This record gives sequence, C-alpha cells and structure tokens, in this order.
Amino acid sequence: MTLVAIYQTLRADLLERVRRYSFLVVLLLTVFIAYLHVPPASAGYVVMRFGAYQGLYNSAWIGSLVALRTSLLLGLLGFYIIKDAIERDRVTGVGQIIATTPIGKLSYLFGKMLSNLAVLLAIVLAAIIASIILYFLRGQEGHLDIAAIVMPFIVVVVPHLFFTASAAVFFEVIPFLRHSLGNILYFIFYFFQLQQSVPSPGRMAASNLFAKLDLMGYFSVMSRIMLDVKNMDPRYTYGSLSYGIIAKQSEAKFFLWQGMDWTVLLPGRLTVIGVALLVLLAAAVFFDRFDSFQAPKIKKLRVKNSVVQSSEIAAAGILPIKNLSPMGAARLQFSVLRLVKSELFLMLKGVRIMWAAGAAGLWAVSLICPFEMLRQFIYPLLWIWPVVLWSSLGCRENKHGTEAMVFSCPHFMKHQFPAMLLSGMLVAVALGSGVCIRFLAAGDVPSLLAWGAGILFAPALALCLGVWSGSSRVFESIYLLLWYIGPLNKLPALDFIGAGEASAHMGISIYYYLISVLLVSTAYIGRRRQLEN
Amino acid sequence: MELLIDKVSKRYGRNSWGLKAFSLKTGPGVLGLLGPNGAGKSTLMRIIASITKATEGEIMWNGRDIAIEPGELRRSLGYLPQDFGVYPNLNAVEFLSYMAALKGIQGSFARRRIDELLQLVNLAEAKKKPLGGFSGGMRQRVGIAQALINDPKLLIVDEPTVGLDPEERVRFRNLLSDLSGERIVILSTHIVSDVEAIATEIAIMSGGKLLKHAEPEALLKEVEGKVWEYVIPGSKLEEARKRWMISSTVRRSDGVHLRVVAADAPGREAIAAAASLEDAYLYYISASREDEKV
Ligand SMILES: Nc1ncnc2c1ncn2[C@@H]1O[C@H](COP(=O)(O)OP(=O)(O)O)[C@@H](O)[C@H]1O
Ligand SMILES: [Mg+2]
Repeated sequence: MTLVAIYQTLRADLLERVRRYSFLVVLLLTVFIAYLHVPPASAGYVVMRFGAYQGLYNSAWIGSLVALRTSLLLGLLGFYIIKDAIERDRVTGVGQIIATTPIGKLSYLFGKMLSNLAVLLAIVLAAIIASIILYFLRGQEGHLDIAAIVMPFIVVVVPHLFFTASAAVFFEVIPFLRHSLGNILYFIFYFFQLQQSVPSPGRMAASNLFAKLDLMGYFSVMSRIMLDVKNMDPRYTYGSLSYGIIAKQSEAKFFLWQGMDWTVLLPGRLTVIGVALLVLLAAAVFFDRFDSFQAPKIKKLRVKNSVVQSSEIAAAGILPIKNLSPMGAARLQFSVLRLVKSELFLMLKGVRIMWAAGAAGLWAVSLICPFEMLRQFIYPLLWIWPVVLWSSLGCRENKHGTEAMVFSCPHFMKHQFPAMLLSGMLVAVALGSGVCIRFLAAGDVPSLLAWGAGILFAPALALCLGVWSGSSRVFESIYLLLWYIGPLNKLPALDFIGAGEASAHMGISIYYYLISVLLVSTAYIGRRRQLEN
Repeated sequence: MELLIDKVSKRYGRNSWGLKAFSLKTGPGVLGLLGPNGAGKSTLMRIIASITKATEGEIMWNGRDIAIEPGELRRSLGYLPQDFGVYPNLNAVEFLSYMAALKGIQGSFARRRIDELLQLVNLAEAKKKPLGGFSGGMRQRVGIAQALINDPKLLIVDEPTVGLDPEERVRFRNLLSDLSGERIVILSTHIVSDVEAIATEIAIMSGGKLLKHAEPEALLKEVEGKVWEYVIPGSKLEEARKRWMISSTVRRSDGVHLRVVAADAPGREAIAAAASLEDAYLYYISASREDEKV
C-alpha cells in the first residue's frame, strides 16, 4: 500500500464521515453551546463565575471559555461519533483487503487516529469561528485578538482531541470494549476524570493523577484563572467556582482577565499527546489485523444455516390444508391493555443484555445515591438510556416495511396509537420510578410534577418526530441536543425533566405538559397522514 | 357478502393515474386480477384494503362505503401486501401474536390459530427463530399466515407467488382454493397459470383500466377458433412478430413453431389449436394496446 493509497483512504474516510448526520448534530451543538456560553448581561443565567467575579468579554475570556467547553463536549460526544472508523472497515470488508497489504498495524491505526482527529478538528474550527463572531456580537473590552482566541484551542483542546481520537481507536480494537460495555465504561471514565480535575478548594496544586495529567485542560485553565482572581481580590476563596448553566442569583462583579501565557502549559500538553500515542501503541499491540473478522463471518454462517434449512423446508412450503379453527365474530375483542403489552414486548425485544443491566444499575443507584449525584447525573442518564426504545415509536412500520399490514388492522388509530404512546411512557415510568420515590420521600411536589412532564414529553417527542420524519434519526439527534443542554447541563428552559432543582422549582414543567399535548396531537395528525401515503 | 367497486380512480401525479374508473362487482369465490406490471393491481388492492383512499369513486363492502366506515371491512380483512417486511428480532410466533393483538383477536384463540397456521405454512420447526434470518420464501409464508390469522371473509393477496418455488406455488394455489367457499379471495398476478386452475372469475387489467371481467370459460370462448399453430423458418420470425399476435414460440429443427392468436388462419399450413387462458389474456392485452395506438 502506497502513501497515495493511504492518503486516498483517509480522504474518503473523512468525506464520508463529515457528511453524516451525527457529525452535523455535534457540530451544531458545539456552535450553539458556544453561543449559550457568552450570554448577554440580561440573560437569566451565568456560565462561569469565580466567587462573585466574572470576566469581561474580551478575546481572551471568550476564547478560553469556548475552548474549555468544546474540549469537554468533544471529549464525550466526539468520542461517540468517531468510534466507528475501524468498525466500518470491518463491516465493509475493506479490512480484509487492508490485512493483506504490507501496511503495518501501527501505521494503519495511526491513520485511523488521524482520521478521527480530523473529524474533531473540523468541529474545533467551527467553534473558533463561532468565538470570533461572538466577540463581535458581545465583546465588551479590547480589540479582536485572534491569537488570544485561537491559542487556548491549540494548546488546550487539540492535545485532548489527540487523546480522544486514540482512545476511540483503542476502544474499537479491544473486542469487549467495542460495543455497549465500552460505551458505558468510557462514559464512566469521562465523568470520573472530569470530577477528578476539579480544583479542590484551598489547594492550589493538583491533588491527584488525573488533575496532574489534565487530559482536558480543565484543571490548568481553571486553577490559573482562580489564581488571577485571588491575586486581584485576596478575599476570594481559591476553588470557589460556578460552572455550567446556572440560574443567576446575584449580579456579577466584572474583572478584566488578560489571558495567560499559554506556552507555560506546553510541557503538560505535550505529555497528553504522549499519553495519546501510548494508548495508540497499546491498541496496536492488541490489534488482530482483522483476524477477528471471523466474528462477523460466524454470524453470516448462522444466517446461511437457516437459509439452507429453509430450502429444505421450502420443498414442503405449504402443507395441504388441515382443519383450521374457524373464528366466530365473538372472538374479536379489543383491549388496549393487550396492545400495550404487545407494543412493549416489541420495543424491548432485541434489547441487548448490557442495556438491560445498565438500566437496572441506574435504577438501583437512583434509589440510594446522594441527592446531588441523582440530580447531576443519574436522573439525566435515566432519560437518555431509553432513547433506543423511544426512537422506534411512530417510524417502526416504515423502517421495517410493515405499514400495509399494520395500517389495515381494524380501529388501528383508536387502538394502536394510544398503545404506542403508553408503552413509551411506561418505559419512562419504570426507569424513573426510583427517582419518583426519592421525590415523594422528600415531599418535593414541583420536582414530581417535572418528573411527570418528562414521562410524557420524551415519548411524545419521539412519536411526533418518528411519525413525521419516518426515521428515528431526527428524534435521536434533536433529543440528544435537548438532553445535553437541558437535563445534563441544566439550562432551565430546556430541562424538561426538572433535573436541576432550580428549573424544577421554576415551574417550567407546565410548559412541557402543554408542549407534549401539542406533540401528541401533531403526531396523531401525522399518523393519519401516514395511513394515506 | 358482496364487494362493489364503483368507478374507482387513483391519481398519483398531476397527469398520472394508477387506476382509472375501475368498476367491478364480486361475491364469494376466487377473483384473479391479471395484468402486466404497472397495470394498477396493487393500487386497486391497497384501496380495497383501506390503506389508500381513492381519488374518485367508492368501494362498498356489504353495502357500506369503506372510505367512511373502514372498521367493518378491516375486521374481516386479511391482506398480504406485495412488498412487506417483518420485525427482524421477533420470531414467527411473536410476530403473529403481535398482529393478532392489533387485529383484536382473543388471546387463547390467537394462540391456537397461530399454532395451526404455522403448521399450515410449514414453519412450525422454525417458529422460535428470529425472522431476520429467514429467506424470502419463508418470509412470504409468514406473510401468508399473517393474512389468515383472523379467518378473513375478504382475503386480498398481492402477487403472493413471487418468491415461492414452483412446488410451493402449486401448494399455495391449492390452499387458496381450499380456503375459498364462504369468502372472497382476490389474487393478483401477472402469471396466467397462477389463476388458471383456481379462479372463479378473472379480471384482466392494463394501464389502470379494467379490460375484461368474466368467468374463465367465457374468456376462453372469446378466443375459441382464433388460436393457430404455425411453423415458419427462423429467418421470418421478426416479420411474423410484426404481423400477428404471438403467444408463444418454440424453436425446433423444422423451424419455429408459433402460437398465433388471429381471427383468420395465418397461413395455409396453420392448424387450429385449443384456446388457453394465456391466449385469451394476450388477446385482451394486445387489443387494448391496439386501441391506444389508434
Ligand atoms: N405511490 C405511488 N406514487 C406514484 N405512482 C405510483 C405509486 N404507486 C404506483 N404508482 C404507479 O401507478 C401505476 C400502477 O402501479 P401498481 O398498482 O403498483 O401496478 P401493479 O401492481 O399492477 O404492478 C404504475 O404506473 C406505478 O408507477
Ligand atoms: Mg403490484
């Protein structure tokens, strides 16, 4: 395989990947979140405040703020959108061809890592452009200083993306990390290291390995700004920080942050790149050069088996008619309950065991974990977990080509439509029952109301978008977007489950009940229309 | 039991009609819808199955307009679409149970009926296997079972023999004729032999229009004395095709044996032959094409 060939593969790879839906969604999400991160003074929320202090919007502040958030975002979502570079070669069979070429394992994986990195860098570029535009929109101080905006992206974000890109390759190479388990483990790893990198109050030095290594650059940047604030106002307690989208309780005091000498961070950031390369090296050690291509082969064989068998059976395809039980009219007996049961069964059938285990685990944790952790992670996670189930609502028939059979059933709209919605809601009720118990025990009525809104809203959205788009992707991406900004990052307006205590108590949920009713009605109309086409 | 199709039309585009002023009345028995691809058979069947609404005209099921009251028809309907899929993660029993629940069939009865149907379509052994691994023919049989699950009074099967091998075809035809009796079976196909043996009525259609609706004997009568066997040298085949309506050609050592449908003998050596449904079908289809040209 020549260099030209490698270049061509890379190019084709990249083109294919940036044209995908998931790429576009994460790109838009990044730009939108950048936009959210530089709110006007009139906004009801703050994003990053050190004690009472908040930086004036100059190039350095906007650049660093957006860079940091991009780093956090791509570390999580970026990982998931790039984690199929090798899988694709495996599925398409290109892997087998590559395996017969003299290309080394390491150079192959290195190429894949670069391709991963390129995908993420395209998003970074969008974030940089967004920051520049935001400076023009909201800038309060100084002049446009391109270097001050770009430097944090280069020094902080890029090394982290080296790591993310390599980690994705690593997770793809190790067989048991390839699927759900790997996704879950990475999720846990991500939040663990994030939590470890938060500067602890009163201590200026990194207190643990992850803070020292600082993959995401979170510790380095935050501790640096804290130091600057402390120097300016000695009463500031080091470590005090509000970060995220947080309801504004008091007006901020502004200070002018002049940025920092980014070269100071270079040794640390180069170390991160070094770690990334080590991860890649480890991946190369375990890489089987598509030998485990046997895995899909075995699967294919199994399918073939049943086909072989089928042609044996086919010889006697249809047997002479025996006495089929005749059916009197009395045998027709509609029951929405039975249909709900069937719909639920259909939804849950084909669910992976790991998914079920994860659901059970989350549910159990939701019963016992501290309230803060519940609101921070567990409750939001319980509402992202069933996405794979909800996403089939309203578009399952279209996807599998069963419309004609299903839509010609008697009283189809009257029975199947509510059954579908109910089954989606039941999934949410089951997963969220632990949270409900906690809110009940705490006597927290507003949160309970918000919980109910979440039960209705998520499946209603799925149903509506599924019916109108005929595919699950639109729901999946829009929901992910909403979920990330709302329940996970607690922007009150989008927090449809009231994960943030503030948003729950603001009474946002009433709007979500209304929106849900609207969504259900729209879905109903759409379903009727589906019948027509 | 009566199905009345009254001047039904379906418009797809501004000037494209899938079906045009189609009228027909039928009762218990097997109605074979015969027509080339694109004739509008599926369109008609989808309208009868109440999935698609007609642009014009109406369909009455036992005196009730199905566009207004589809419930009554759907209760007694079994429908096998031309193209359909299945849920790949379900096995045959689960899939059929789901369809039974949708159709509102009582649980205990559904279980018994599913068991019987799986034996009928000979999938009893494979009933616990996910449908995703089924071959086309097996899937087709699941579709057949699905259509029969509610013991339908009106059974609509759209090109059901596609994907079945020759032996299965024969068995399936027999199944349909055994099933008929106190029900209406509508079967569409572009293969004459599919309906030849079992149809009690045949409707030939083309270009969205009904060309002829009659009993098979009546159709045959129409072409009786108009079918000839004629041998010509291979070199004259092109010319012959232009001159006559030819329903089949067979190459032999003494030349090409033609089967010609024509009012008068094509030549002195031509021998009159017994008419078949195939000849009749060709006769009507070609006649309609001639009309279009004029
Ligand atoms: N959904 C559709 N949209 C537009 N045209 C269609 C549609 N379905 C069928 N047609 C057209 O209507 C005509 C009849 O099609 P169809 O009913 O499928 O015929 P058949 O089943 O006899 O092969 C064809 O010309 C076909 O192209
Ligand atoms: Mg058709």
